[in-house]
Amino acid sequence: MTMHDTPISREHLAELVDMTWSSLLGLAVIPELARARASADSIARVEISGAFNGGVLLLPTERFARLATAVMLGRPEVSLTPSDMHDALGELCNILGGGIKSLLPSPSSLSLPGIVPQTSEARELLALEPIAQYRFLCEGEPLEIRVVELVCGLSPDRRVCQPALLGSHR
Amino acid sequence: MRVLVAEDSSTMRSILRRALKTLNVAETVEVADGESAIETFKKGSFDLVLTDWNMPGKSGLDVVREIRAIDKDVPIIMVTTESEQCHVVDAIQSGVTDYLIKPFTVTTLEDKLWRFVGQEA
Repeated sequence: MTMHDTPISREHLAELVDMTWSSLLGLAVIPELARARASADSIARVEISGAFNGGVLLLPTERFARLATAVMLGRPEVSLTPSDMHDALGELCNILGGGIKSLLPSPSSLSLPGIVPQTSEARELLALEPIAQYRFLCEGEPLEIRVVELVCGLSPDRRVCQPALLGSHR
Repeated sequence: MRVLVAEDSSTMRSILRRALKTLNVAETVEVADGESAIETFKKGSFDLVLTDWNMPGKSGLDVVREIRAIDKDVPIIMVTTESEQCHVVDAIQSGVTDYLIKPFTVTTLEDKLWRFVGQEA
């Protein structure tokens, strides 16, 4: 599956993000047309396995992670721990993953969500060619959603399943 | 009203806790996994169970099956991102009373509470 034959359009992702951001965070988003990639400080990810194998990646900035967590927990930003932010971003990614999964071949299941820190694992994930992606701004922060497909055990030019995506980092 | 919330995400537990408080639910008991949900349910008396589907260890589906084996009547609402038809069928066959798809609003949660437990929170 590629960007050309994916069942997920940019409009699908925009609609999912709009709905999730407004109902969960009460925040508006602005589609970002620039080609520059969001400079994520960590990656939230959830795996999809079954009729479709791959995952959903949410690339947030540190400032957005702090803001979103404060809103979701109803607590001041100064009180937040890294664990709070990991859980909140994981849940945000999980909710997006559920919506995205419903657009993909079924039946399939979601993994537990997790956070991949900016390590070699993250670089491997970011090197995967997305089958769909959506860049947007929220409160001035650049964010990005990517949907990637993993094809296990095929030719070297297709991605083998990687622990960073399949492992549990929650 | 006494509500058991089974949800592994501390963030979602916080969201549910605050939403239930807004709806004047008298007591909310929270657990972070399926095993604890079943043990807690056995020890207490609950008017409603809200359970996530995807949790470490026993899943929400396991929770529904095991609670149904000991209580055929308590309303159990699955709070989940799983909206695929085959998963909904699995949940219904396991004995779930209703579904609440994430992200949800307080109004949607309120509708479910009123439908299954009545307006006296």
